[in-house]
Amino acid sequence: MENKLHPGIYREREKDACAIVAFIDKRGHSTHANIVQTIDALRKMGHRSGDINGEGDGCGISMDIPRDIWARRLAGIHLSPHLAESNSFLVGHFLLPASARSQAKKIIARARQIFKRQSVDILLELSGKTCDAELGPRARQDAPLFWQLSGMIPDTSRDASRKRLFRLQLEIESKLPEVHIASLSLDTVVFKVQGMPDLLPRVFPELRDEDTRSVITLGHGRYSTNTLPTVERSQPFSILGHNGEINTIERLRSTGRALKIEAVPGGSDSQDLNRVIEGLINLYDLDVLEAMEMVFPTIYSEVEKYPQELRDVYAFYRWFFSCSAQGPAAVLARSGDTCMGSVDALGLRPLWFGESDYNYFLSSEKGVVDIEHNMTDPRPLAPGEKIAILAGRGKQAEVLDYGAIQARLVKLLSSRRRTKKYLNSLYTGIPSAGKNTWKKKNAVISGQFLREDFSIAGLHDPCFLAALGWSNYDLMIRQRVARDGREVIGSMGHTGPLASFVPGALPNIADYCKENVAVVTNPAIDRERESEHFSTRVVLGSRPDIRGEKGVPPLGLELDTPLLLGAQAFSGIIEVDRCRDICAKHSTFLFEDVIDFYTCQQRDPGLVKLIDATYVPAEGLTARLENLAKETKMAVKEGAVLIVLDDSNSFKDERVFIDPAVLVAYLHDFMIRTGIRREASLIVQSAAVRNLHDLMLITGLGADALHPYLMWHISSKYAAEKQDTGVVIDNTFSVLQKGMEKVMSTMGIHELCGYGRIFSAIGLQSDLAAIMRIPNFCPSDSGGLSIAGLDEMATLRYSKAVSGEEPVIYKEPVRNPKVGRILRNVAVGKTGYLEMAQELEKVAEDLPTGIRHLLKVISAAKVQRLTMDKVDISIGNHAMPLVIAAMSFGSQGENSFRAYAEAAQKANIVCMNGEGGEIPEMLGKYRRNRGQQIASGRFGVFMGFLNSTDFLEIKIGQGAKPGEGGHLPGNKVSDMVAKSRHCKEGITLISPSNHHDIYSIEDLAQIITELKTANPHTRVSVKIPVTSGVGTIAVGIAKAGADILNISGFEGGTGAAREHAKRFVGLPAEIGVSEAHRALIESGLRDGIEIWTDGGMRSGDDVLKMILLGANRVGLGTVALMGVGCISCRKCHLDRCPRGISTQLRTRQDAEARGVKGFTPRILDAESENLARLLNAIGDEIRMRVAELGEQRLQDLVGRTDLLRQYRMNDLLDAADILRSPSSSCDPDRYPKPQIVRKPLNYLTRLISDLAMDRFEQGDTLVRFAEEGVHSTDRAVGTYLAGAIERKYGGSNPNMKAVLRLGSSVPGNGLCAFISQGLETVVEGGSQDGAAKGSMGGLLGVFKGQNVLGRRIDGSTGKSFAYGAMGGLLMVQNLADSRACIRMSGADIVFGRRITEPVCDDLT
Amino acid sequence: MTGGRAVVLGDPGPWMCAGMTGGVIYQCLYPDYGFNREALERRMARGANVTITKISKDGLNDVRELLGKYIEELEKGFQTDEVQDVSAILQEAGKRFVMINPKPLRPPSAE
Repeated sequence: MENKLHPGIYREREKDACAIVAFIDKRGHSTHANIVQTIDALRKMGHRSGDINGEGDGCGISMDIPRDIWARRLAGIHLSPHLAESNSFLVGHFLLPASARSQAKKIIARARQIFKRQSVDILLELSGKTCDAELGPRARQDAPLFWQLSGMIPDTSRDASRKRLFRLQLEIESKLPEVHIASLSLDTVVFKVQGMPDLLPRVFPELRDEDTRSVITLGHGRYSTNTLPTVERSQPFSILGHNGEINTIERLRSTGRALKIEAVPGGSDSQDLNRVIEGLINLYDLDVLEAMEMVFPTIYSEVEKYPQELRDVYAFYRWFFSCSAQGPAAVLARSGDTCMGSVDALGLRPLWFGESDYNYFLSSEKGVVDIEHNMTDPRPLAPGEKIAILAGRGKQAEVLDYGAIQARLVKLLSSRRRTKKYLNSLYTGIPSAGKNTWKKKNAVISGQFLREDFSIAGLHDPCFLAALGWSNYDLMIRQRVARDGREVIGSMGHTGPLASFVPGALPNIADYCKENVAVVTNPAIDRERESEHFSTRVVLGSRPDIRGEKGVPPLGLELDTPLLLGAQAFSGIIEVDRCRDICAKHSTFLFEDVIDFYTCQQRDPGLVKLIDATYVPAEGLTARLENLAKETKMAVKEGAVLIVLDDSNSFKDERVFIDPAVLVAYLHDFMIRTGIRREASLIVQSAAVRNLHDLMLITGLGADALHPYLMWHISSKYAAEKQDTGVVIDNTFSVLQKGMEKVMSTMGIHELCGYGRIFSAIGLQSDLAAIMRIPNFCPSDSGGLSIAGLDEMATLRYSKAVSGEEPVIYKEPVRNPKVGRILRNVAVGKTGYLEMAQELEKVAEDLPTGIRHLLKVISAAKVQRLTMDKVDISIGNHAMPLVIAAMSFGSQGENSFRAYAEAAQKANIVCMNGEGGEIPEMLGKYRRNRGQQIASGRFGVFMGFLNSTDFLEIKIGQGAKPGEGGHLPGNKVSDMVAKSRHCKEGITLISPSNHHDIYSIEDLAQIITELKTANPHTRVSVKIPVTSGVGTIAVGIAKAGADILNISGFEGGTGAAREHAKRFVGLPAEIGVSEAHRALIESGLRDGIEIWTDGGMRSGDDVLKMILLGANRVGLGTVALMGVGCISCRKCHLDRCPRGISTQLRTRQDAEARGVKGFTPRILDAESENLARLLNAIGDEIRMRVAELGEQRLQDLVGRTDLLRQYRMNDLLDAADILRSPSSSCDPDRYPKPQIVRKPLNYLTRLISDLAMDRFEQGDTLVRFAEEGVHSTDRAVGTYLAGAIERKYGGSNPNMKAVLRLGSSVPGNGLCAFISQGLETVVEGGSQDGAAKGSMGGLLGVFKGQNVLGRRIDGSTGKSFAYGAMGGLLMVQNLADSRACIRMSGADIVFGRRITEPVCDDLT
Repeated sequence: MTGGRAVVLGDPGPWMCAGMTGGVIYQCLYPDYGFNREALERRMARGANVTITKISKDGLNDVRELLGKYIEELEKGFQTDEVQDVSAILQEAGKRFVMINPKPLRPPSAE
């Protein structure tokens, strides 16, 4: 499945979102019921796992070794049954994939030899004890061979035995990579299948045997977004089951590798998380409590409040294990007799803890245990909380809350006395800085780490800048950041060419790389809301070992940020002490002070090694990198703990800087490979670090700190009268610092220590891509940037730097105004489609921006051409495959906003509304031609809105600013905007960067279900930005039930976004469409979903190319603006649009008062005509082009990449991979019928509606419905009825009233989502995630219910309660899990849980 | 939160009120149990930009209205003990509750 040229793309993007559950017998009894209950709970959470054609993605359980069964088996072969109870008794479960079945005998024989070499005495083997006929058609074809064995391990101590088993496991993994080890343990066995949970006991007869018993069982149901689910990925793994996604997985893997914990070959993020934890336990003798805490540590801001001894624990953990696992994660882990539950620091995944009659349980949904059988209130684990249960046969289970766990951690660290002593050499400040305690009197700052003839004077010479890859953009950003002290905001889309297209601009590697963002399966983080979680801390120097056996103790220096200022670059410009003040403000230091700290004012220079990061291009980069690696290794061997990569020697004696990104990527990997990464850190001192993107890239590739001396120097040049040098440097520092946090947040990362190679490149050749080790698009061995290309470019750089000629700093050409004029001419009827087509083609030829501009549609021979009237470009009910891309009322003025909808109706295409509600009187007016967007702010999203249209779009992100939200300042929230958004005039509106009810793929599936429950007639679209792995994301979205996947390329426009985001974040639409189209075909899901795309398309030619690449419809946003008269002045974000398009200004007077000159407001009727004319002309252009192809139906051409060829710039970029056809199709028809059909799990909401609507139709106005025992399988209860009332009677205050009373119930997620007036629901029991979201009226009460003892319990609700609620009365008697009332804009809420005992301030 | 009314009888948990730009929260305090105004302030998120003030007359009416409805529902569910305890809080609502309102945001000046 992996493509050779795409190393790791698919692998990296495997997702594991799911349901998890554990039952722990609190009496210590081993029972069969323990297993049955777990499987039953998984079944009840079936909606949380994925399936293709009814076949589940996979599930599994981890349980005690069924010793009675094995005893019986041993007796059967005349061995003592008591062996099964021995401490040395082990059981292994192995899966041999179907493809290896023919070799099974040979493989098993080799495995036996490995056991033998490790002196394990195999007692009994079993093979194929499964009923594969029970599997679904797809899984049956791929059914693995199940091989079980039991044996005796020679060691006497359990620790030694465990270690031996771990070694065995690693050996089998490396020598027999085809074998999947489900479990190999002294305690547990794992059973897993590809399929739904009910298959487990049917496939494994052992699980049906009444003698199979367990005290602890962990269960996991999987939602795979991998192209094809496989049983190997099913969970639980040896230790844990995980619901969520690890955003820091790349860093986690490399941190593991540096500790010699090898990742699982081809493993998913959850598998490698498991591997890191088992590695820490088995290789480093850590307790499972310690290992889990190292990987999921408490956030810094909380740790600061802890007592010293606990702070020591975390200081050591962070120092020893530098990368925390971040991203949504509810984890259940078991090691020996310890069972743990853990929730990520932000609490993004739900995990409930409860107690039933005989068990403790942990579960994604509390409703899996009926309320009657709960003994106490189930409670959700708080963000960052852990819980441990010590259980086992014959002992009462003991629950350790987080406080008790932490107390144990303190004890455990104290028991490692030598290790703890290391903390004396971990510094959080430089003792000498300021106080001179370690310093010789009047010692000068060390200068030797910049070359001796280093001169600041020449640094900002344009020749020098151009040679270093500085562009006009960089200088503009530096200037505005320095002066304004805030990040630079712009509008419209990025229209510059890909870096590959302009080698003459001397782009750096960073310019070929784009940042990845979190999309759907993992969320971006709402940085404003959760600011206490963010940290950019780094520790420099060497790292400790765990046993305290290091010859020289480690020496660590903790900084709050990896950014260092430097005195040398400012010498003569600003006082050193002023620099130190700025450093102190940001808790960092001068580069020179850091060096002095480590060398003790150069008394011991050996601790720091200066590497000359320049080379002579003629000698070749490859050779130079190898030499530098050797030099580094030697230096570390001799005791260096800081490696400084310094390029200040550049442009002298034929020497040119080595691109810092390449050097860091190379050295970081080299140091890990050679086992020296933990002994020294990398500091980059480079003039080629120009902007935030460079900083993030180089940090992500492995740099521990950066000293971008030229960037500081250039910034200082922008000092002005009112802003002296100190101020502009401080400004620059602050903005970069905030920018780093923002970039992290878009990837769902809150601690910089986890930000790794989260980038993709476009157009690197294989040799360079192999060094960068990031996903690389348009890979090739012939076209694109190679190492040899870098050498050539370096030669050019040198001649540019020393030429002394009038240098040209690269500036991107202006493109939009030209295009705008052409389009406007057509819109107002001055020219026709033919001229437009020719003129736009010329622009594309002269100013290519994207891959599509290198492609030509292959024309048919003349005889085959059709006339235009024979061509059908319609799709569904619509005349053309065009969509007016989403723009909101708020960003757009009323008349332009209305003109888009009107024009779309006239041209019969779809017009999407952006987030921001609909002008009330437009609701429902354009049903067929209108789509409504549901975005993170949920403005104006209520039942009437949801039923006003045929298309609903969940906006996860947009190409121009992936992973970011929006902010509408109060002064733009006019009366009319407030009405359409259902909020109050003048109040600032914040759209978070993520949906607070979509933190995973199963959450997406849930909201799609809710929307379709609210409006069964709608088609649901999911709009995503393009990021690497978009193919797997597309599969996940299709499986979640979306009808449309809308792919937004990074060239897309916006009303306001950071310039950084427009330029460096996300990928082109071409890549997104081709990847998604291919992945959907390969997984057999393409037929069920339409692909839409937008982002930079300007012509019929562009539209046709995107369709040939795999899209069904193409969105045009900027084109629509230009059609109504946009002149591309790029002032949208200033609310000063001189054409009255993207502004709330309405009249000339208002405009003049704001200083907007030449204001010409739009006239609705005229502009909707104009725009319709333009759209029809684009349609004609498409018809013409399709006719030239000799094809009749445009939709037949979707994905016909054979009709495209690359006609130019082949040496710069090779587009062949984009044009590749899908490798295989998994056509559902290939599999034998019948396919599996299941009873729908979720029918109550519909049933209630049908019953109630019948009564209303008969004239009743009040309906009462009472039900007992509603379970978590019944989701969105009440929502269907609210929708039905809306559709039948309209929202105008119907007199109907329905009262639902649900006794002893814990209804499923989305209870009463989007309810409106007239619906009253009272639950006695509890509710789960997403209750009352988007409610507009009515009542929801969640009260305590009674258990079998008559005790009142529960009454709690889950995450994201009342998200975006606009009205209604909502009551919760007990707890609400995190994220309650976000974006609430009008409901009344009562949280009734009282305080009944003294509160402690430890608020975990 | 940009609008609406919320009555909170218990501990709101950490990181509260981040991003609140409108609406009002009525928070019940329990000085006897150490949950006083300072404790409430400690629960505010860094991103919170709010004021905590003594409850106003209108605020008191809001609390009476909402808790009244809450008590009504408790009664329907036969939770008599809880009705008594909540009613006792309602009796001294003027003393027990504080109001949390967002500070007006300074509109950011255009670039």
